[in-house]
Amino acid sequence: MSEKKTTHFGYQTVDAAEKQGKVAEVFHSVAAKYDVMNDLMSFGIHRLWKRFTMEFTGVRKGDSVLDIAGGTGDLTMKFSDLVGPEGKVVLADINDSMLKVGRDRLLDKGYSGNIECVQANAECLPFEDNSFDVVTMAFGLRNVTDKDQALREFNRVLKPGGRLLVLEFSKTNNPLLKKAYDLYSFTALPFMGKLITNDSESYRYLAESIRMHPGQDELKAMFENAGFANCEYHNLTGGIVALHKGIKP
Amino acid sequence: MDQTLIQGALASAQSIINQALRYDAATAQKLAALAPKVLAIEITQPATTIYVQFGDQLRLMAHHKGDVQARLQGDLQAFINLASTQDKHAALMKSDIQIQGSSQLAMGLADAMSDLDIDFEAMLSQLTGPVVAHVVGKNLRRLSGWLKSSSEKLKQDTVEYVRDELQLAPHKLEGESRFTDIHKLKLDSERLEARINRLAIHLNKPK
Repeated sequence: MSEKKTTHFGYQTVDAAEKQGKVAEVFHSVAAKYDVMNDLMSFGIHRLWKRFTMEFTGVRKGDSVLDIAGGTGDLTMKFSDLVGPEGKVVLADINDSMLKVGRDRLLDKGYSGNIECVQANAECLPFEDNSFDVVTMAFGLRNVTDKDQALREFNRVLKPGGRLLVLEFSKTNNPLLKKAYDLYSFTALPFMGKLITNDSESYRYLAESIRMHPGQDELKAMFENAGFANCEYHNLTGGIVALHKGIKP
Repeated sequence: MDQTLIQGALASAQSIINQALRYDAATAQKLAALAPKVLAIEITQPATTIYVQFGDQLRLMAHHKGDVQARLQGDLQAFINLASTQDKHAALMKSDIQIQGSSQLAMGLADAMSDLDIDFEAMLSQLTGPVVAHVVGKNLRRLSGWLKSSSEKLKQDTVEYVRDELQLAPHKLEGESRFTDIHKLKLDSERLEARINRLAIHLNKPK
């Protein structure tokens, strides 16, 4: 008899097949107030982390960019400005609620023409091989069931020389910061979630999923295993967040 | 320094500059004409590099992977001096800042910044309406003119007080004459030293 494949959903161990549905529930629940919550929870610092990511993309006019797990489209907007009318940006997210919020926000801000919105699973991307100059994923990888498969897919859709940038919560080595961060994550975050979205469980999952996500060096090794070269990472805010970068050879 | 702090500083500076440029269309147009060129400002002490990408909006970055058309290199004091000078073109030529790459781009930026003339009244009128902005603007201009003439007068009076009343410093011409005499004396002593050396060599030469 074959054993069922399991994975983490926060601190719980669940069937791999179940995780996608559970993550989808979380994001359906928070989609409408996702941006407000991001600003509140990170005190607006998530914008600086994303700004740092943009600097490393090296995107130019005419490039094609995939913003996977792009959610409400804040990176997509910046990419759209940089690639210009001759370039292309694909805003992709597995969750239709998040994608709808992102698409509406883009249209409200006057972004159209060089942007496509696609509902896609990072583990099986509906794009041809070698089709993007840059792939970015900001705060999405920890929600993916099979992270290695997702990284292999990013490698497949990138053009040779193309860059993958993954911005994700990571591990801090500073014991004081770790203590304060843990206290904040497991008390303040669920409380804020309850207050604003009337859903503390989703924000408890957020804190737990961050703890279960691979650390800096482990994720770098996963990049290398997926076929990326010149892999590197940069810690931000004492390692609370890290930006990983790899180049498709 | 943590990258988050650097990004915070750059994001704030970028936002302030772009907001200000909205009220000086001529400078904004000159800077937009430099698009999509990138200028690197390399501060040697403390070691920091800021990349400026020109376009409809200026973009300030701590990292840039693409080509850089010009580099300005110097210590922080040299950049502060440059920023506080009115004629930036002339100041850049004379300063300790080294220019690498396209000097045309560096000079284009210096020219644009020299002509910077932000319409603060228009900026204020966005918040208060045109009537209040005009009254405030008129009074601020009057205050600024008074401060400028008062500071010049204060400077002149202080010089005269120290020189004529306290007699702690000589007159400028007197000082210059003294320095010329000192310089002449220095040259004379050097000549005398050279002459003595020559004589000493001559005397010590084996016959």
